[in-house]
Amino acid sequence: MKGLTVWFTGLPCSGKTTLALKLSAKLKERGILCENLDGDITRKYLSKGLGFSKEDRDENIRRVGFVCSLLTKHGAVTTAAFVSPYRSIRDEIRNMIGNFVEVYVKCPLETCIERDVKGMYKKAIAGEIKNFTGVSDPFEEPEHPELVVDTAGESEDECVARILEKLEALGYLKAGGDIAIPDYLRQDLIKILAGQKFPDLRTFVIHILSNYAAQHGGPGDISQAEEDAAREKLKKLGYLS
Amino acid sequence: MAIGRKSVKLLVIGLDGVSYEMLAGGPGRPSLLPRMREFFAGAVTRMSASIPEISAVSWSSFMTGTQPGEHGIFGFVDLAPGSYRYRFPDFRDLKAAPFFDELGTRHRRSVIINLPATYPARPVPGVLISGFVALDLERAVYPQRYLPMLRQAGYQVDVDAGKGRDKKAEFLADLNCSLKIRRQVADMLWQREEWDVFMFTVTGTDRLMHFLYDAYEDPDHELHDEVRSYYLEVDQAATSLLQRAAAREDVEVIALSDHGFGPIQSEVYLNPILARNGFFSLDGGEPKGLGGISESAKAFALDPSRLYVHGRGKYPRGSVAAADYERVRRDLRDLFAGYEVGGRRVIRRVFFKEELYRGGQLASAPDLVLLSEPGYDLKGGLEKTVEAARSHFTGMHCQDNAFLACRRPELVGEAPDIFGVKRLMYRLLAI
Repeated sequence: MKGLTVWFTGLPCSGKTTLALKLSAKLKERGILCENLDGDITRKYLSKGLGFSKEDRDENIRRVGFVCSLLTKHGAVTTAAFVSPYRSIRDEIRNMIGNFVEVYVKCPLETCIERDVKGMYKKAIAGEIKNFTGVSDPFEEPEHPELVVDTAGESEDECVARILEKLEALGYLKAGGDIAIPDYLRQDLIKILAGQKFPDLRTFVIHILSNYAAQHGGPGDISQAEEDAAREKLKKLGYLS
Repeated sequence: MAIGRKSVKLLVIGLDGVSYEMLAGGPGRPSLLPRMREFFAGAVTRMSASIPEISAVSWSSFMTGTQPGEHGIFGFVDLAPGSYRYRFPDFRDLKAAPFFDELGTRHRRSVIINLPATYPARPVPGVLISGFVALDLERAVYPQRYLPMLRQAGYQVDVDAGKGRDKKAEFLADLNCSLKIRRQVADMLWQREEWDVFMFTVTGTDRLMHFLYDAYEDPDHELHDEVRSYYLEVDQAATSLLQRAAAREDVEVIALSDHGFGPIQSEVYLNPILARNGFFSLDGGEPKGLGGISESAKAFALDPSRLYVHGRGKYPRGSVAAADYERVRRDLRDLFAGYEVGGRRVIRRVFFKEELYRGGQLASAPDLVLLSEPGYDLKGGLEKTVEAARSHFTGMHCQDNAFLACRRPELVGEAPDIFGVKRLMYRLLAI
């Protein structure tokens, strides 16, 4: 497993931290080294003293990005949940980190306000908090995020499942979890497969697994009632006389 | 397009049972799908389907790029090994890798909507909504997170084809409703999913022609306009996706059918023909499936056009010794090659299995397969007492007039049959 940063960006109360923690838990279940960073932690230990002007916000994200780049370089998966409203700094840390997956946590402002148990939006609307993203400061939507999740329309589990699928599709995670194959076995298999139709070991393993899924996976056996239903359908169309 | 990854994508429109003529039109018969015809601007070709020319076999051939000797699907129904019990091969019986599995090994995702022969749905790299013969929506969807959305949309795995016989107006209404919902689902998945291959299949086109081919052909038929109207809806659904794809520089498009269609002159029942010529008999006379086959039977037929030698050791009451196998096959070929109904030849060609198929599943193949002349719809007809008759069906599948359309005229001829479409798709995907 190579290191990676999954960067959650979105309005306050859109669900970034919830998803980041859930994803982190899922990855840990797969035995993957994982760290979670969010604004509460970093503002306390990494960026204490920084405010919420654009310059300070960018600096905060730059520092977090630097930590993410170190963790990523050393093979950890970092889930980072930050409003990070400005496109330019997100692009800057994307370049700094390299293995970077941007997840835009999309949610209508009204829903975010409804979810705001701390009453921050209320204070921002009343003018008690300045530079509050979504109210008195802009949120620049990502132009090319790897994934957009809609926390108003999708459940937390659905969002996390889609993120895992995306990480698999991008080649960061292997479908079904990582399986370590001992080197001696790998070398033996490569020798056995030489000249056969499988171009590489990975294709061979996927062939074995997908056949297994086809034979034993979720669908289960067709019941007698289903066989009867199939027979009836085929008869109606004249495919079974 | 995924960040940092320049790749071509592909939209595939599948139209079950739409013939080349229905799309391209012909003298005195305008295209049923005029927008699609215009979209492909003449880059439409006639294509051969599998033999037998039925959806389970043909779509399996399409998705795997292999012929039945390799993918192992020879019909909608088989006999369970060593018995006379019918079994219904499904997606789990497919022995070759479909394109979406292969693309998955290259990190490419597919969204597959309503593709026949993919039930029950299993994990695939992307999204799969199984088509015919899907029975239960819950088992026809992967990933399962789409199930609530499909239920909410009122998605049905199929319409009730029984209405095609007696309640044709209701049947047409159901087909239109089903198409509308499938279209909504396609729109939703188009927007929500990231995909490299997006396949949208319409099966109502086939359902309709089984029952209303006469209405399509006859402008004076009371349902002629309704038939055309349904096809125009299909045309609009397909063209809407095609135009959306064409607006993007990175999406290639193809459209195809799995077999063609034509009018029925007569249904022809193979088991009664075998019986009259001494090849087939049932103990007790009353047909109760093939379970009643007698020991003296030398052969039997399964729908639609498959003949099996009743071999000793292969079937519980099989009587044909291995030494006699070739002689029985030759006799069967002679019987059907010269078979006539009303003085007209019925069978265009009789194939021995090895003439038609090759590959690891050859042992499971029917011993002979018949290809009929146009208008003669072959069936097993176990329960029939006559050799040929007409029924409420007015249209039948045709093997040689499926279609393939591709916006690249220089490539459209590269898949003269359905087995070559996957290769063409990979070429378009730059694989």
